[in-house]
Amino acid sequence: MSNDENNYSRSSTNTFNNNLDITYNAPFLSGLRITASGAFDHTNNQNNTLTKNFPMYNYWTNELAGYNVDRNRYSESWSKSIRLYGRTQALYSKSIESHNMTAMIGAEVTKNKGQNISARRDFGDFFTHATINSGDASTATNSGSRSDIATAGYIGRVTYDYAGKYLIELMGRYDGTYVYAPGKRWGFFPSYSLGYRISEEKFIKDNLPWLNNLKLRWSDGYTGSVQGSAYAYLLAYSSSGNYVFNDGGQIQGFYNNSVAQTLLSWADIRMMDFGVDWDFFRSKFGGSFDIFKRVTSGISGKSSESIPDFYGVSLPNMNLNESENVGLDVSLTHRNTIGKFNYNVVFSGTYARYRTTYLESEKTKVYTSSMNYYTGHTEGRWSDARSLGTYKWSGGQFSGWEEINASPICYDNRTAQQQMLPGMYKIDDRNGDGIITSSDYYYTWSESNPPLQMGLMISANWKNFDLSMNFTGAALVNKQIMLSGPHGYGFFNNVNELYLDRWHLADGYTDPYDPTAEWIPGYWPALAVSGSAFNSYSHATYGSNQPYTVVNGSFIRLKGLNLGYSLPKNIVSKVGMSSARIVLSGTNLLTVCNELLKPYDPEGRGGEWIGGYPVIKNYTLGINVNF
Amino acid sequence: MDMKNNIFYAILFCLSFGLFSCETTFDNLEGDLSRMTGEDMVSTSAGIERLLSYLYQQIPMTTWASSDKSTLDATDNFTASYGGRPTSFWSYSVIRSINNFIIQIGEAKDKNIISESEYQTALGEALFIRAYCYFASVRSYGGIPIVGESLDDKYDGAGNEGLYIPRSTEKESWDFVLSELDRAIAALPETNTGGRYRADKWAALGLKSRVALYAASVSKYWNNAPIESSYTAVSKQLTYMDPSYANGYYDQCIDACEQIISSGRFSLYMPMPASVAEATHNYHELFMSRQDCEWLFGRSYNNGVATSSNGFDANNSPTQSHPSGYWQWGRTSITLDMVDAYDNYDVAFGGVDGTINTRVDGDETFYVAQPKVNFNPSIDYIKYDSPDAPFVNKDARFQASVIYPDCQFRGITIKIQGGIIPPAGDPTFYVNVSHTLNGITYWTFGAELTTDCSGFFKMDDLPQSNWYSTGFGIRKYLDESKPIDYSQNPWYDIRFTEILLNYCEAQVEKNGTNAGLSKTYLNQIRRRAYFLDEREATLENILKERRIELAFEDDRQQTLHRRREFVAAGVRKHALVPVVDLRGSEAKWIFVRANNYPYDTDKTTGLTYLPIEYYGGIPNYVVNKIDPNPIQE
Repeated sequence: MSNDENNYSRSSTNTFNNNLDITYNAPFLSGLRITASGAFDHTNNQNNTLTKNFPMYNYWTNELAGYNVDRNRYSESWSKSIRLYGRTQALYSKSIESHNMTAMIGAEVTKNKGQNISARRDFGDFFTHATINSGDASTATNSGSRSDIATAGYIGRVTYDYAGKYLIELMGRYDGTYVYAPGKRWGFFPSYSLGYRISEEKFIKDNLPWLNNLKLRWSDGYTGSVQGSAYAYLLAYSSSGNYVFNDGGQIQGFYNNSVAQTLLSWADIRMMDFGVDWDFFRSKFGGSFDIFKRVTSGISGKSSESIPDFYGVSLPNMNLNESENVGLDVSLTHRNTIGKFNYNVVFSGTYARYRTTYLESEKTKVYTSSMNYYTGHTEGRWSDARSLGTYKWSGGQFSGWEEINASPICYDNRTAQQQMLPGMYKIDDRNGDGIITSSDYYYTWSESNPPLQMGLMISANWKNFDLSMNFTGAALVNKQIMLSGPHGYGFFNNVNELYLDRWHLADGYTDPYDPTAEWIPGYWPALAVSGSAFNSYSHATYGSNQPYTVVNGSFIRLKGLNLGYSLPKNIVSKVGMSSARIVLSGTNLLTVCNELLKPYDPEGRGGEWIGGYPVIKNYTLGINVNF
Repeated sequence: MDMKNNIFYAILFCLSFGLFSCETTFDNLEGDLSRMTGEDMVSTSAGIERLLSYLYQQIPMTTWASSDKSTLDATDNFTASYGGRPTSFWSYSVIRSINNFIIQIGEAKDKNIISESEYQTALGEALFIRAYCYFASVRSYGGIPIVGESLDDKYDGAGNEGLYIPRSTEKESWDFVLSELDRAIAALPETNTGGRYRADKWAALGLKSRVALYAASVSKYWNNAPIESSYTAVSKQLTYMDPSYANGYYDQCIDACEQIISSGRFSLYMPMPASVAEATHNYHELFMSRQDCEWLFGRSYNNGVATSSNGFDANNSPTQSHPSGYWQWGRTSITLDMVDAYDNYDVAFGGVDGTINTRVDGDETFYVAQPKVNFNPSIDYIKYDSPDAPFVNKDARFQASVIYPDCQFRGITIKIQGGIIPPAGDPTFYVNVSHTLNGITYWTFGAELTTDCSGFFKMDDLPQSNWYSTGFGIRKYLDESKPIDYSQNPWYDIRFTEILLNYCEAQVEKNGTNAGLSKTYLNQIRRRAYFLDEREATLENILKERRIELAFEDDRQQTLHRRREFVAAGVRKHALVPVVDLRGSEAKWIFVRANNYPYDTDKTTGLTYLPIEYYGGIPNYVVNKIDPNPIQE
């Protein structure tokens, strides 16, 4: 490995899966099958990460100013995990004329054990080799941990259908987890579903032969969700501080500051779904439509009742809160063949919203103003639509000192425009009080999982060529660019090359507060003098949400493309191969999104996304050969 | 059919085996690898030690002269703060930890994990720490809710009646602390083999002596700062002590002191010096390391990690002694009021009044408010030949405890000067100007560079906290022999001299002048400072000796509070501003009594402390469903 290798994070995983299945078909009762299966999986993972520093440029002169940090860093981690799985079940199926029924009962156990160890060392400004031993020993850190968890469950299911036309299913699960206190480990989760395949009706088959499938579905049932941290039911002790009992040494203190959480158990998720599936003209037009509601109850929360200081500890978590997700799913498929050209298109889209329907802590919450309530109250409110506040530009940038001094609106929450500089954007004083504060925010879609998401897959083949394309997209979301991040603008005096189009002085750095200085305009406002009494970052322009820090996060991306060519069988067989295929694939080849997001990954989230790696375009050329 | 049944039973067996194995699956896991269970913690004495480490960390011990800055004896450099109650305590989560610990060690003893004697020691330590916490609580709030056992199982989610603990009366609270200390004294060994910084019988007796004296004083002097009985807390005796209670507490104090003294384990450190210089050296040396003859209880900062100890030397050494790059130093200024209180030696090494003489007419009651504006050059000040002349004949303990103008520290002559009077023209204060006399250049601050002087820099402007504002700084605890950036000197929380002084005060308060052995002990303490005369053990003499001997040991604020002497309208802290006077044929130094705190907001009437302020506001009294204190009504 040479000195000029780039940043990387590589991982390799070796997995050994061992499965054993035994099936016993009872000779005495036809339709009864007993199966036992066991799995023993062993996974080793290794991860090597190299983080090197990168150059920064002076914001006045555009010259190379230095590196973001003085060090290079290499880390390595190894982990091992073992999964043990066992399942026993008895399945009985019986069909009498058009009556079909099945019954199943089973039990399963899963145990997972894992352990890992990792180490890291830094290099100074001179990076040598990517091995732990090459780094500076004084910077060495290491860590390691083990885990040991288990779940178990029983399942029972009965299904019945009449001629594949009327379908009914009843199911019950009884699930256990190690997370909770004895007595709170097990939860019972029943469900049922009904189906009606209209297309099986004789009058449909007779009159509408192109209607290959049309099915109405309804299902309603519970599943369990594990919440809270494991072993919180034990009164447990953590370390805190040191005390000297004998000169020259100290003893670490251990304390407990929470009661045993013996009351918490599973959260129940009730899923209700009504759906329609269809298939016309032998799969030429197919699809499905679902409308669903998912209610999660018994979410972990603390009782809002007030308790005196004398208890000495806060109340335990209990199953208290409730939330719901409501949404639509649409899937449309189209498959066709024209001569030797086959193609297949699958579109899927989801629109889903979430809200908290009961929040215990709201009972005692105090809101000091309607604004406070508007921004802080969450119970019963659909999430995301108005949780991110941002200023609105009222038009144009301040072109110079005259305009700044003449502005009737104060931008500094003070009596003078002390921190203003040319190039700053004019902001709409929404509440008309003459001062720009967070009360002037407009609220918009927040930066979270987008409510509207879609995917499009197109695949086609012609003779020996095959092509597949995979698009993803999302809407009703905003992304926040943190200007204080390493790629930000306004906080550090060295800026990323993204920000070279900014208001700056024609003569390089002189004095930005000189009223006679000549300015060159740009998209970004001028920077204040770093280290002066005015910290530019504290100004709304850099520090708060603006149209250039809160941008529409909608996007469509060509996430994957595969183009393949299979060599003709008669050729490959001559060289002893059974098949050979040449494939060219690429990922993230095309992204349509807001210009400001282009350097980043619009699918990324939050802080990581801001300072993280830009989206990676990948091309791969490969040959698959089978002998 | 038989076959069918067999298979049926086989399936049933498989499933029930599944059930069985599922439950054992959960029980045979490694468990919580990130934390320890209570059982784990008390399964070894090392675990118990770690629980105790946390409890010891929670002791509300006031350290390093921090509370003295709220009294007339010392000040932070940029404020003239006065008032504030002694360190308080209201952490029922700590009380819960202690109560749970007591249960746990009991269970460990029952399981024979720890021996009876290990149990007794751990129990004694827990009771000692809990008593210390409640002591801090009672002296701040009066009667308090006493949680004597774990309430973990009292939460029922339906009213939680068991969690609401009413306030005990102030007397009941004091009595509780004292009786708990009696339990601790009975349980603790004479020598705690777990470490010299853990409580033993003597620590508990020493604390009892302090607590009993506190309770006695509050009782006897409650009417010095009476609060009307129209306040609920007073009418319910939650913040009330009757003078008739006093003698009982004085007896408890005397008894505890006598047990300590008669044990023969303790003595004054270096009681018979041969000179003032030796006495000075000894007294300073006492605080540099733990001297077991005076050590009843305290805290070590010698943790084996040089870089994580306390920063007393770094924060409090004078500016001149600091290498560049430090950002705070000289943080404890000693007031002129305190300096005046130290006696001078007469020719036979008897004690005489040590008030600094500044004026020819002998009027030492006048203080110039803001010398820069109000200094009157026509007043006849005594002209001294050197800046240190007024201080060199003072009590050895002054020499060991206070940095004064022109004294030596770390081989440097410490310059503390605030004004200059030129040969002709107006004097200058707090602005560094120079004038020349006989070919020698003199500066306002005693030196040209601010890094070469230690006092009064920018007093009239933005006060700089790194230069003494009173003319004096703390020397006690500063260790000139060690690097300046860390301190590992121990903190004496309870030392033998305090026990002697507690004894003297209790005896004299209860039984009158010279009662018991009070005169002997008083003069032993004075002899250690090389005072060769004898003083009568009057209350006044004992209290003065206490102020001097325990100066900057976080005792003064408590003494003034318990004796209800904190209440005073118009108190203020004073400074002594050395001024170089060039009006004569050679340079002389005059000393201006001044009152010049920039942030002293009420310059005409001074600072006040009201009777109701002796009791702090009860935290969360509405939620806690208890009565508030007078200050909250």
